[in-house]
Amino acid sequence: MNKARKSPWRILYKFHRYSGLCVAVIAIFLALTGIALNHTEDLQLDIRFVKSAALLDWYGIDAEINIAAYKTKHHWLTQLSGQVYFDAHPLAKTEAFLLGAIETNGFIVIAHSGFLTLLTEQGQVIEKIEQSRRVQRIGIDPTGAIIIDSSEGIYSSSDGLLSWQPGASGSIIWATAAPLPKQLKQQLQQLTRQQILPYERVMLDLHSGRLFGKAGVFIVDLSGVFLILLAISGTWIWLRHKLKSLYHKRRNH
Amino acid sequence: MLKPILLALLFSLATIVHAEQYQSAQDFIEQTFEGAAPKPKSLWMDKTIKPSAKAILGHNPGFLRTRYWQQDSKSAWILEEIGKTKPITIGIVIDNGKIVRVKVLAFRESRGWEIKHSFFTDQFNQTSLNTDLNLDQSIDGIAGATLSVRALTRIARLALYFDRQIQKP
Repeated sequence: MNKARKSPWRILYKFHRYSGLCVAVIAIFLALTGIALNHTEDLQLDIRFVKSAALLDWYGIDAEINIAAYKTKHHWLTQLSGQVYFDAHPLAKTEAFLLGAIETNGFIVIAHSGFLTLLTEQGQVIEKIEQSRRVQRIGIDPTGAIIIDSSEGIYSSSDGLLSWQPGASGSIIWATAAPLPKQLKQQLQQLTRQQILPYERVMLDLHSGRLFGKAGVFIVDLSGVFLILLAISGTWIWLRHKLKSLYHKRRNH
Repeated sequence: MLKPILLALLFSLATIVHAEQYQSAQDFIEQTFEGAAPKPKSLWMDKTIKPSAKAILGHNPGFLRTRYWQQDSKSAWILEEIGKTKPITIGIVIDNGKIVRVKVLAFRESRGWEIKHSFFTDQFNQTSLNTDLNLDQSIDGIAGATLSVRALTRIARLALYFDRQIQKP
């Protein structure tokens, strides 16, 4: 009896049973996260973002403090982490720095280093206009013409940005950055913070165990080793049964 | 310890996605009109144009006005369309209602950049718009670049449609 309990086969059975039970939960978890990652596009994991403050805190994603804000006559144009806002409404995403915004003749013009964006007073995009010259700042002259100070000098446009003439006349009022009102600042920081962490990243970190630090990675690695051993021990046990039954069949015949 | 690792991983994803400009809009226009580019004109998305533009793109155009350069029967357009998440800037030249050149000017997505090659863009040459506002020739896709191919096809249709509007007597 004691001999049977200590036999290598008995130990193998026990190992297979108990390690299988231990790894089952993690194996199911890995399979589920793996399936989700395989369908990233279908589930839109790469374009949907985490809004949970706790999870964002866990990742160390803080409110953006580098803010470029410009006030036109009636509106605020702001850029945080590549997102441009018209007041509190997301307008466009761009890595190009916001350099200024001015309002003239019922239009708003926003300047980025490589392009200008013409908006209606209500913040609707009329046109995005690429600039071959690098824009440094934007302003307005007394006639309402739009002025850009660029890498190739000063240019003015008085036909809705369709054409540019070199130089400008009269005193120019350049757009200057201004501090955002506290309430709007907090609102934009919150909106921006919720557009940084895609679900795909969280799913990848769950799958690898990295979300729980080194301990998580170690547990996932260990589970992987156990799954390999389970596959070997399972095959071994199956072969033993198969060979045994074949042997008995032949013997009975 | 955990936060820096996770943040580094998060931003490593972001660095994969970068803008790549292959030709400036100005160079494209200069090349198209052999150094004698006409002054740009503008086409407004009025009540007659906007519904068809929306039908072609599958969404609102996202702009109220687009500029174009025209000389006789030839017109050049620079338009943007999102492939998956970022806009692709595309230059299109049309002559007599048929595309004569398609050029990807800037590509910002992490995948699907294969559409910039001439082996793909040349397929659009000599295509025109049928009555259903579709291209009259089929365009072969590229595996792994489906969304970019679709974006380019939509923009080709849109440019042909816009050209049809400006050529109206």
